[in-house]
Amino acid sequence: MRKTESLAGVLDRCLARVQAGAATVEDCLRDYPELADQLGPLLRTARQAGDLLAPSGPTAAYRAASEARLLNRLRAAQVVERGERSRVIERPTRKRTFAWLGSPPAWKSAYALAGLALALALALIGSSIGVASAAAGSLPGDELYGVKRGLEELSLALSASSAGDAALLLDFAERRMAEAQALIDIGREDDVPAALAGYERELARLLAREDQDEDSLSRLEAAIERHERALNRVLERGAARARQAAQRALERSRQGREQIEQQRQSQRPENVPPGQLRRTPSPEGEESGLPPGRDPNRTPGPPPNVTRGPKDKDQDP
Amino acid sequence: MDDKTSAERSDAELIALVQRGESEAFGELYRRYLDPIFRYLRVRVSDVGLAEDLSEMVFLRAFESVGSYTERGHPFSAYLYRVARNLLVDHYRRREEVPLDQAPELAGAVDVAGEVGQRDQLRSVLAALQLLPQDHQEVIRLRVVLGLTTAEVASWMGRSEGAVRVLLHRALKSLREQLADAED
Repeated sequence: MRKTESLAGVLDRCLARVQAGAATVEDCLRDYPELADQLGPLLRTARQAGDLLAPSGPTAAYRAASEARLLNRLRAAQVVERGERSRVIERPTRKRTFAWLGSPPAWKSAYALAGLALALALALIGSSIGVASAAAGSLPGDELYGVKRGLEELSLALSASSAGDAALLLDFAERRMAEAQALIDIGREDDVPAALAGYERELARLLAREDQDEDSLSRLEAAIERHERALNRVLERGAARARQAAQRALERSRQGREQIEQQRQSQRPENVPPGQLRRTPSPEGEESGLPPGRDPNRTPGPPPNVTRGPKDKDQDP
Repeated sequence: MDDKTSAERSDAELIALVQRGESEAFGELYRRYLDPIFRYLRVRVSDVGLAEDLSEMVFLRAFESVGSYTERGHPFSAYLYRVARNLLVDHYRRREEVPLDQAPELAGAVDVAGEVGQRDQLRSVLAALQLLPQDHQEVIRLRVVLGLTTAEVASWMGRSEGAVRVLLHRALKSLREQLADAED
C-alpha cells in the first residue's frame, strides 16, 4: 500500500510537469529510475489519452453570444432592483399605468394586500430575509414558491411608474422561463407546465399594456424571441407534458408577436382614421378609461388570435 | 470600501456580491468558469451544440440558485461541476440513452480526427475508457483529459488530494491494461 501511494505521488508530480511542458516523459523516468518500469507505461498512457481526447474550448462566437444572453438576464434583474429603489422617490408622482382598467386595478390591490400580509407575517417570525432569500431560488412545486410569487406581486403593486411595471413584468416572464428550464434540468418535468402557465400569464400581462412605445415593443419582441428559443429547447428535451405546455406557450408567444405588430401598425400615422390624432398614451386616453384606439365594447382580456402571412412582416420597416 | 475590480475578487467575494443583489458579479464567475465547464461537457456529449446548450443551462441554473448557495469548503467551480453532472444525468435519462458512464464521449472528435490511424487510436482509447469503473473514468477525464490540477479534481470529486492521486494511479493502470487486452 505504501508503495502504491509513493508511486501515485510520483506519477501525479510527473504528470503535472509533463502537462505544464516543464518536462518530458523521458525526463521524469530519468528522475525516478527506480520507478521507471512502472511509471513509463502509465505516463505514456496518460499522454496518449490526453492528446487524443482533449476537447477544444468554446468558440469565441459562442462565448460572446452566451455571455450576452447571460448579461441580458442579469441586467433585467438589476432593472428590478433599480426600480425598487426609485419607487421610494417616485411614489408621490406615481403614474397610473393601468388607469384604463379601473382605479386601482382590483388584481393589483389584492396582490398588494396579499404581499403586505405576507411581508408582515415574515417580519413577525423574524426571519423574513432568510425566507425571502430562500424563496428567491424556489421553483413551482416548492413550498416557498408562493412566497416568491407573493413578493413579486408586492414589488409590482409598489411599482411607481409604467416603465417600472414593464421591467418587472418582463423580469417575471424571464423568471418563469428560467424556472421551466431549471425544472427540466433537475428532472421535475411534472412542474414544468405550472412554470410555463406562469410564463403565459406574465406575457399576457405584458401584452395587455397598451401605453408602449416602439422601444418597449422592440424589447418585448426581442424577449419573446429569446423565450421561443428556450421553449424550442423544452420541446427538444422535455417529456410529453412539458412538451405540450411548451407548445401552448409557443403558440401564445407567436400570438404575442402578432399583437405587437398590430400595435405597431395602429401607431402608424397612415393607419389613423382621417380626422383623428395619432394614438399616444395621452392623459385623454387614460381619462376615458380605455386606451386610445381600443374598442370600447371590448373588455380587457387576452389578445385575439390573428394570423398574418409572411408578406405582412415584409412590409414592416 | 475596497475598490477591487471583479477580476481581482475571490469566488466567495463575488458570490456575496451576487447574493446582495449585485448581479453583474455573476458575469465574472461566468467568464472564470465557462471554459472548464464547457470542456467537461464537451468530453461527455457527442455534439458541440449540445455542449453549448448544457453549458448555458449550468450557469443559468447556478444563477437561479446562487441565493441559497453556501460555501462548504469547496470552490464555486465544484458546485458548477455538480450542476453539470446532474444535467448530464438528467439528459441521458430523458433521452433513454446509454448510462452516463457509457456515454458516447467525444463522438464528434472521432469524426473529425484527421488520419485513419489516429481515428483508430481514439476509438480504442474511448472503448477502453468506457470499460473502467465510473470513478476511474472520471478522474482520467478531469486530471488527464481536461488537465485540471489535483487540488481541483479533489474538490470537484469531493475527495482528498491523496485519494485522487491513488485513484488516478489505479485508473491509468486499468486503462493501460484494457488497451493492452484490446491489442492482443
